[in-house]
Amino acid sequence: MSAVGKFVTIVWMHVLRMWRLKTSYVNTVINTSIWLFIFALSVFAFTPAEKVPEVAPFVFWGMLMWALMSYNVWFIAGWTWWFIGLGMVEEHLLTNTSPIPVLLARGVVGVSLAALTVLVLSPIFYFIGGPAVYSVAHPAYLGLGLATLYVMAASYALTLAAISFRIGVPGVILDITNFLAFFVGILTPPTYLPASLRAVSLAIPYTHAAELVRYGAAGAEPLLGVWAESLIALALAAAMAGAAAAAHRLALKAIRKHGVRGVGRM
Amino acid sequence: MRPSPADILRAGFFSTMMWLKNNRWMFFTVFIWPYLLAGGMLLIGTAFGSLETFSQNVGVANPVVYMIAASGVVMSSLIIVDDVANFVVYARWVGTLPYLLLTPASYPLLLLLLPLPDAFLGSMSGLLAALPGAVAVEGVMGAARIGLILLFVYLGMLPLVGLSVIIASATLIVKTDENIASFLTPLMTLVSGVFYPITILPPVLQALAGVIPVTYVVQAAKLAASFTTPEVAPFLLAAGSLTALALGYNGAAAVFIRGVEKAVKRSGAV
Repeated sequence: MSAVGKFVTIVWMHVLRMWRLKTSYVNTVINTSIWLFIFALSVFAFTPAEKVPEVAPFVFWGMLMWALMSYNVWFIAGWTWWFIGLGMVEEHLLTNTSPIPVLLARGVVGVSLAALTVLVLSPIFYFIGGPAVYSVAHPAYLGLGLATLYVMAASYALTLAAISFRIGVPGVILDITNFLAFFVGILTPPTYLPASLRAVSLAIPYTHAAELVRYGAAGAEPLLGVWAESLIALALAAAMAGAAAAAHRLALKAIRKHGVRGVGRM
Repeated sequence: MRPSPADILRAGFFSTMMWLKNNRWMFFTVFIWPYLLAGGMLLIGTAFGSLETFSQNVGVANPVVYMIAASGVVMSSLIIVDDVANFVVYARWVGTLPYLLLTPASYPLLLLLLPLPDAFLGSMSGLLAALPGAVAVEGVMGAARIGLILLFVYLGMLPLVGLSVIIASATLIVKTDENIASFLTPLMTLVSGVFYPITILPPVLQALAGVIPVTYVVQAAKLAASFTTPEVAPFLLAAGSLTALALGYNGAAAVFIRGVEKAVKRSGAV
């Protein structure tokens, strides 16, 4: 089978699995939407009423970016636990199929979940912040920001997956790093942060993609300027994708020699 | 030989201890989650607004202590519901459900008592984790506030256990390995108004909040974080509401669980 044929088959299998677990799928959308709504309401509890329309677009796009990042990290890196546990790495290698496209295609689940979650949240944000929430100032930058954010999240997840082929990666690490990235990098613009945290924020790769999204959506000028942020976001996305590819090459080489960390059900 | 309630509790306690021994990371996160949650909320809150606005909107005197305590309350309440309500789903996932149903112990007792030690210890550690933060900010007064909130968390545990048993029983009838009730825990947190005033919610959700036990625990936490001279009446009102809910949910659970037991014995649960 050709590489394209294999990838289409893999995506189809993920879609079938998604359909079989449709109750969990819907539950995940409702679950995440409610949590994000709780976070949004909490932010507005700190915000004076007259500032809510100004803050609402930042929070809305922050929630969208969180959904895109968190779902993809969890549904790629988190899912690896099942993939290894069921012995599927070995099964795929025996049919001459690399586990990388199998994990990468989990993005179908992650992206569709993010889209549905945002769809659920949209009317609520419209009610809170008015039509300004959906205004797009620079569509190209918005697209670039979202694309680089996705590449970064998927690459981070794939790198963790490669590591977990060899050693155990505690799932809580995903939770904690996602959480920190959300508060310091994604949701809050660096200009709004205290000076001491600004450097931390700029050290998080997602911040640069998020700055582009905020510029593209609400026209908020990035701290380092649009051009600099575009270059940094592209460079970081490429570097993270390269690191993920290298990590998988090394992991596959080690697997072929020593086997997967888990015993599996072969 | 039919195991006694003490045997079931002991088994649940032993299982929790072994689980914690093998999942030290999880144990560690129980202690840092209230701070991560409170710290994150305070960070984004003050970035977009101010502590004064939060105090005014939510009606608490010390927003920092309240945020730490409220995060502990959320963790504790969620642990109770998660442990008891999702017990059946977890047992089904790991393949122990058929063995549990084959034990000679009464099914309602098993469903109620086996997850209880984990719920008790988990909710206690969730709130005790908030203790050092409260003491650092307010000294002895902070510890007193946390102690008072912990009392309400345990009072809130009574109706929550009844509600969770109803959910667990329903999960048993549905016969699916999917966690169909997972949206209930965030829904409870949403309507309880833990980080915002409940009045900003739509009327339907405000009405729903009245029958959710976490609402009254949060109410008590807000009162505990507000008072300088303690007022007894509002605390008694919250305690009374929790007692009424405990009677209602546990009464309903007792009836429901018997019906489910009959259905499960007739048609199986796996």
